[in-house]
Amino acid sequence: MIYSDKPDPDGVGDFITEQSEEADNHVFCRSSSDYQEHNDRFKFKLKDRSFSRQYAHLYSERLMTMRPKLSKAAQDKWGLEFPIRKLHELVHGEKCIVIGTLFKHMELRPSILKEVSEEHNLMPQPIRSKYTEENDILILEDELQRIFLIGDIKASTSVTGPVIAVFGKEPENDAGKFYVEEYCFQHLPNQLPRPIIENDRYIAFISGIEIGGKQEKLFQLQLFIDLVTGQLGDEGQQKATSQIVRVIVAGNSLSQSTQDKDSLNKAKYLTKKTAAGSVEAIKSLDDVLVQLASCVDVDIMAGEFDPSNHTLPQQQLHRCMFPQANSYQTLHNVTNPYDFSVSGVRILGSSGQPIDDIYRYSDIDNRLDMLEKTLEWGHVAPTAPDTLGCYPFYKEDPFIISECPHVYFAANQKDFDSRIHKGADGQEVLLLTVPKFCETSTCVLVNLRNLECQPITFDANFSTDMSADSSPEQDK
Amino acid sequence: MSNTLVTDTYKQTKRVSRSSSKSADTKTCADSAPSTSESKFERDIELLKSFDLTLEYGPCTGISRLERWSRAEKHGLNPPQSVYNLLQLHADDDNYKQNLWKDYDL
Repeated sequence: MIYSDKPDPDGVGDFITEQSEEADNHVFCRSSSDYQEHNDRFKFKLKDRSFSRQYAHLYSERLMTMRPKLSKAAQDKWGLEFPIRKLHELVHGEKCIVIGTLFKHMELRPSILKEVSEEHNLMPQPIRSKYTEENDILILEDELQRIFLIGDIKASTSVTGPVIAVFGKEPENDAGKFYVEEYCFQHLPNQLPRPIIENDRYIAFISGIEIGGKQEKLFQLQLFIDLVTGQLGDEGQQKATSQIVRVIVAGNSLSQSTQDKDSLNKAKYLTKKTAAGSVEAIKSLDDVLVQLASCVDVDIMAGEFDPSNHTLPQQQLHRCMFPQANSYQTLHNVTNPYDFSVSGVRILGSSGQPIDDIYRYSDIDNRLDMLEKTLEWGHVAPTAPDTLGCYPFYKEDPFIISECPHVYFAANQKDFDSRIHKGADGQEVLLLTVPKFCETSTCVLVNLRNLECQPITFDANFSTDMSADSSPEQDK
Repeated sequence: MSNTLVTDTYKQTKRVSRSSSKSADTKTCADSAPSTSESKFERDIELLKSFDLTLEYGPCTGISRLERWSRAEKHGLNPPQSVYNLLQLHADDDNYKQNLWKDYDL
């Protein structure tokens, strides 16, 4: 626990009347940590961007890169006696292993053709929270062909995108379908062992601040800033706070309402004088960040509603948006997804869009289960580019998990949840969902020494009764 | 009554395209000097087109042939070395560099 269970009761609630001599001498230094960024595969230069390419390259790259890994996993699981066949080499009735990309055919999936049919006065598709139904079919695609999958594989818990190895046979009487007996994904990649850290070092994750929206919790946000900058709490608590080495602001720092989509459709002469909603919000965010950046390393990621590109990987928020905060070297604008290591602990995560997309297109309800599945599948965003916007890569698929992280997080989720996932080779990954601050006023602290995580909720209770004291509380 | 016909107002001159008849002759005899470079060019292009259409190396649209070749090599698919040599030789010529669908908006 970062803060002690029994804070000194004498200090709370009283004003400091006497300056004790000891208090002046207590200057707590923040612990330092090594930082390394592994984000290069997510970044691209403006001049190199070409959106005229087709997405077939991305799928081809994904399949070609993961095929050897899957062959190895398949042979480890089912032995060398069964051949690995491509779809055009299938022999009826022969048990074999096929490796390909999974595709889930969903009737209810929003389709551009159905949108176009609106012109013919047909009903447009309603927006639903989940687009899956019972009749969804799974199809396996390799480089040249595709085949229906039936048997021991559930369509409801699968999504389009991951590369899978299936074991089974094509029945003689039912050609065109592959009867699956078992299936597997790539082995969890190797994990560098975590270095032994003597002291506690914490990373604070906060997401979904959503400034500019109706739900913005500016007071609680200020409490968070005061806590991290060491202005809250008594000496014991300030000393504990000095162990926070980094703050990750994981997306959606601006609210959806600042996106102001209506003004896009209006004529220019109507919207000339109105300022964009995001301008004021970014100024407030800059004020927030300058306070944090003045004393701790801050990494700010873009989220779904932030002024960055819509497709994944989202590029860094531009430096010019934070004029005050950028004067500090401690502010880092980073990509979404974000891959980095602090003191040897490798951390990988996103602002939540891949997990939200998996929620829409599968039957899994628990967000942490979805996160665990993406780790099993070995891909940060399997539904990209099918239902999640993605840049048309052709040289490599940067979302493939090729090195196992120690901490794997998804931000902007509904609740805080965490679990340790143990891999077959002794890997330990902390799976973490960071809740939205605008809804829960909760941030998460992760201890790098032992991968324990702890939520901290900031609450304020201003009662209308004038006689009662207003006291901000800090929950553990 | 004159003996002139209406059609006389339009003078018809029969243009015998001598060049076409000549080239028809040259095409019938194999391997005469001006057309070897042409047919070599065509053979090269045929080789490159078949490289494009080999689906094992992945999709061919939207990227240059050299990029596709490097990608195939990176994944150990053993693309033919002759294709690589051709591409290095004519690195500036768009007919060699771009895939066969380059004129279409793919």
